Amino acid sequence: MENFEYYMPVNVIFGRGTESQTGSEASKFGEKVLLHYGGGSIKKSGLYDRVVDSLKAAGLEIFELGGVQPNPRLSLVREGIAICKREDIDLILAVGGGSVIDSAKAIGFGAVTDKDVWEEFYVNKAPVEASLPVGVVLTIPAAGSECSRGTVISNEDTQQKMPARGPAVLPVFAILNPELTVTLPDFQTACGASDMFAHIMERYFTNTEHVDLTDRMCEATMRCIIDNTPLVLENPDNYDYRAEIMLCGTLAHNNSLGIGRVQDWFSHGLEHQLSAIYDVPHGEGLAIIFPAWIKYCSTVNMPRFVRYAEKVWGITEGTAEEKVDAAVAALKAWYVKLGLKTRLSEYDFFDPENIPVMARGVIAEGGWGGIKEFTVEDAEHILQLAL
Amino acid sequence: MENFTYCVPTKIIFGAGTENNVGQEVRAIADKILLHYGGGSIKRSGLYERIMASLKSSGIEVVELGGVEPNPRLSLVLEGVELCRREGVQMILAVGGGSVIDSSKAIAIGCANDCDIWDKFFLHKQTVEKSLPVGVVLTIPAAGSESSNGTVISDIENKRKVSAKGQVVMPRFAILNPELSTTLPPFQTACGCADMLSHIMERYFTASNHVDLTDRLCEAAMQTVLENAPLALSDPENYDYRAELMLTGMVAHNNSLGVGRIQDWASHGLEHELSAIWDIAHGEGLAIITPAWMEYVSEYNVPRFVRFAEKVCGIRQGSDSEKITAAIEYLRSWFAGLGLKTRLRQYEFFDESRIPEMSKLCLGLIGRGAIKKLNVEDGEKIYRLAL
Repeated sequence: MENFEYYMPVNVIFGRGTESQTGSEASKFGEKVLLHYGGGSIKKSGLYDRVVDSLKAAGLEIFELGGVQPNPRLSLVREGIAICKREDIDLILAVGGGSVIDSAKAIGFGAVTDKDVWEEFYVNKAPVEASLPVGVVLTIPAAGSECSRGTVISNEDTQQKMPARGPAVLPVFAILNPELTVTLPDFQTACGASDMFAHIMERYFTNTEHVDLTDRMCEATMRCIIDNTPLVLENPDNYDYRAEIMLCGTLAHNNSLGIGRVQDWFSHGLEHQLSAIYDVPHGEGLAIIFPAWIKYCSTVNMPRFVRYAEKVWGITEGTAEEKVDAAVAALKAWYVKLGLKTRLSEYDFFDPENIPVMARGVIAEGGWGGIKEFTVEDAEHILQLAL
Repeated sequence: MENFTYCVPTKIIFGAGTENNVGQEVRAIADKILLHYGGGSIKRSGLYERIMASLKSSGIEVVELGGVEPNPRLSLVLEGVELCRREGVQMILAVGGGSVIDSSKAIAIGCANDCDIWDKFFLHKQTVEKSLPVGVVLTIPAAGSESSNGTVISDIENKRKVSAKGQVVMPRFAILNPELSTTLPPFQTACGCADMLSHIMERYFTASNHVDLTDRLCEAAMQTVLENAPLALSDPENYDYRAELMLTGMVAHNNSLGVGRIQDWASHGLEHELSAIWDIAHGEGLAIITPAWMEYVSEYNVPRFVRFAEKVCGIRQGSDSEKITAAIEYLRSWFAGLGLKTRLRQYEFFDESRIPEMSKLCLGLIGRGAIKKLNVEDGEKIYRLAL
């Protein structure tokens, strides 16, 4: 086990009807709130009205910025920063999924600096040490951004999708009501499950020895996602399955499963290339990249990948290599069952000529790879395997 | 799954050599502290000197109070409160195990509240709202007090052992170096493992349905304790086993495994009377009470106890009741294998005629338990099953 520090002071408020506590939580952090959200779904569902009522009842002055898209855009972040500075906003309230939260986080730390938010924190990777507080009402269990110290933003001008990180990126509270997720379209439910599953695999595939407890907890959480996601898709209105998935999504990325482990994250790096160039949904991109990554990397640490086959997918027969192949097949079959693509060639618009560009891009950005040190050639091989 | 809120504001600093950072962690909170510890073991081991050196190099002024005993005493707490007030101490640093931490928490509560804290927070169970900050350097993985919201104190004169709780009771930081636990006597290692296993069982045996993820996480953590405790006893200096146990002890009681679950805690209640009246080591008391409690209550939720037998103890054969009996036997022999007593009659001093009194103290005012709400009569029967 590696030495580690773990600090997760987000106030998580979980369960039915909990969005009614938004106002009382938000009012602990000031008087002026920027309400940040995506499209019209929260207005159609009535969530918008309930949140606004709760904020008003707590005496908060509300400013609004909607329009966050999947793979959230730098241009909207800049707009939000301008509002915060002009109106002297105290708190940003993200009502939505990972894209809305990531956008809110970027606005939060962009609002307390005079530097260019993209150059300073995304390109130059300065750690984020100060931010306006960000509160969350989560509607899509997926990214785990509600309890993470990261944010991923897409710069539409440069076709780059990159993360920024730091202690001040962590939200101050997160309201998680599984009822809010019952109206999600199947495809978003599936992409969310794929994303949280990937967050655990990025931590699980490690060369760190003697990580017994976190190994078992990773396996427990992966099996929980494997079992509950198809149940959610078959019974979309069922609270219990939605609750399991929502809790898994937070746990998958609050790093309680990753402490003391050297983590990998190269699959996320490769997927970011895919989303940046083709605007592919992140969860589906991961369903395409991860099986190829597993196949390519398994020889680096065969016992770990065999353990994955045995403990996560229940594969007990065959040689080590056969077990890994069976695990990759089982993973792909699970993605397909969720309605996700598992090959780049399934996208008409994908041009294999872009593979070298993507491979160079992910290596140039750097910061990935725990199982091995990845080269441009490795990246190309994995993308070829994913075709 | 029940609605819940979850927030752990304790910064965990885990790994080899981490106690040497204590000075800078304290520095961020206070200039003048009370260093609180037990007997001579931290002086013999050299830990005391390393802590003092780190505090001095950060310019921290230190007032000392040693002498904490197992089942920490109210009398020492009150002495500590008076000392801290006189000296103008801003923070309590606990160096030791659960007893030292609990004593430190109680002193911190006493310093911040002008009232009879024993009467208000312990006997009358008012939620603690104010406390001085507490920091921890942990030497015994067991109680999980390093990131819990509670403290348990004993009033020896009146033979009462009771708890107080509140979010502010959680330590600000906890330094966990598994190396510090390699010199623990086997009996203390064993008692610690019994305690952490019990902390998970109290959460696992629930009245809530649809708690799939936390069920699996509890099972993962219990398996880790069951496997690693005998390994640590047979190879006491091995860092890896000690690290698993130290991490599991913390996870077992920071309530990450208990979120959304109605928890039981009857065994802890019954054990507290053993410790209060006979000064029995808490972990050993739990090794005696827990199997007896299982024998008595398993009929009230057979599927849950069968699941425990199958998933935790690996028992596959037999009828439901045979599986449960086998699981209880498995547990008793695991405790015995660690060198713990599993029967009250193994104590020469135990006086059977006091059972009605113990049960009345524990269950006279409030029933305890989620699997079955126990009354005084139930308590007596469980104590007799434990004879």
